[in-house]
Amino acid sequence: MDLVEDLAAVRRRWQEMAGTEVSPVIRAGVLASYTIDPVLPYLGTALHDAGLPASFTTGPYNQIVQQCLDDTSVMAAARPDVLVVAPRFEELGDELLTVVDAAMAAARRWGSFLVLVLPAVPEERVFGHLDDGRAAGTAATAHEVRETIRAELAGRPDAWVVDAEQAVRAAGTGKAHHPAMFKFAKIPYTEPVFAELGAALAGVLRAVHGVTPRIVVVDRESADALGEPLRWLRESGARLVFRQGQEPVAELAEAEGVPAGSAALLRLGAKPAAWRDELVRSGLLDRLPPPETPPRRARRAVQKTVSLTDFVAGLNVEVDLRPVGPDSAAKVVEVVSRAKDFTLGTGELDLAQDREVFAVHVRDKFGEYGISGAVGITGEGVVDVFSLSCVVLGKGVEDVVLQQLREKHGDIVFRHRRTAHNQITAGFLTDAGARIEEIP
Amino acid sequence: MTFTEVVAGALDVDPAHVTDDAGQDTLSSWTSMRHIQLIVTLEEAYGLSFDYEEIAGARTVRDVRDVLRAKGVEV
Repeated sequence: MDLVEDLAAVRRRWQEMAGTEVSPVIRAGVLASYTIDPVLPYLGTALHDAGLPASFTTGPYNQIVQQCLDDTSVMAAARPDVLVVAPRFEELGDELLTVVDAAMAAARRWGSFLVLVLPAVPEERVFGHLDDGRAAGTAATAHEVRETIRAELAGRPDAWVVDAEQAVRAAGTGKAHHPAMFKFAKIPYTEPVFAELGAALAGVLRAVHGVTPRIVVVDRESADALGEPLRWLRESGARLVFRQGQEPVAELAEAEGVPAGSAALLRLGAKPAAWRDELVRSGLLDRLPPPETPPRRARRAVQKTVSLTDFVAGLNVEVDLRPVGPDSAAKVVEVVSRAKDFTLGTGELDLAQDREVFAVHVRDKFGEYGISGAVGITGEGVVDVFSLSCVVLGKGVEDVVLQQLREKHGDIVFRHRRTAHNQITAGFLTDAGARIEEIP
Repeated sequence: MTFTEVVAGALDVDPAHVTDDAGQDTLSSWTSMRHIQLIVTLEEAYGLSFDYEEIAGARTVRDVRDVLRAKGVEV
């Protein structure tokens, strides 16, 4: 229960911090092939505690390449100081290296420090129990790609790597995944994984900003009981300073000739078995590997970054509009009610109203997405339902739907109501030259 | 922590507003991200898991209470 309570306390603190105005020291952008928002409380509070308050811009679900290559994207507009990119094999398959290339190119253009989250090895193995014996197996392929990425980024002054596999292992593979939450909101991991990822990301950013603790202050009276942790700290290169009373850490730091932010007080819980994890999570064991260590494998030849048009074309997206029937009605209503970003904002879908409604079926090279949206049009050519699930955004699906509507119905008008979240819909329709009937 | 306190904390609302009829349509802070936080917090607080239908169907405090009761939690 301790870990659960600790994580809940961090989330509560983050919630409270959201209501306070602090000038950010770091402006971070976060792109992932899954919903990564749950990492923000852990990363944000750790950075705040290190004296590096951060603001975050998160990109839309599974649109890393699109955000990196489109100069009008949310992330391009943000031009973050730090770009965190977290792809997974499950969503990206053999496009993963394309994602890395796009992220590196974007970070260079924006002057961002790139932190690439190495994807964890997928749990599902294509060849079952026989997967491990061949280079074509899931594990072998994943390790190959992971090490290619590590080699690509190792030694670069403007990039670092954090490993999602380590976060999954730390949480325990049996407790790391949340299939129901993934189905509902594309959140694949449980809170302990996000906590580990947040701690690791914070460790990198502390090092980048030179605030990795150089001295660790230890209360003299507790030192005898902390033999093992103190040994770990010494082995990691930390300088230990023992204090007799309650002298402020900042004063001791000054006396040692280091900035206040480079000193930290050693705080450990009551359970010795948890001390190692606590120290790792605190970042007190962090130290930079020797810079001259060469990568274990050669980098790839210089890659030409794919264009956004080529990337989307390579997805082989197929869109099919099918009339809604009894077997698809419930799913269509659910998809429309859950679409928040790409929707006309005209409210809940009532299939009893007099209009044609089509379910939008989508598939691409990664597989079948099923009913991923809906479009409804009246006999007068008024489109008052046009909703797409975030899962299929960024693939050009909306363009295909619009084209099909125009081919079949000619001059159409879109009835649109602005909501707090559907700005991209209006932007798309405007860019496409669509006629819009704005309603209050 | 009581059920009401857990829900109020996750949704960042006054506990007095956590009535059975309160839901996604009546509490402005019950956004989709807060909904996820609510589910995660409940799972941690009561040591159980919600399946997809339960996560998607929990649109009011009463719905949430019903799910927990079906799992044997007295709330």
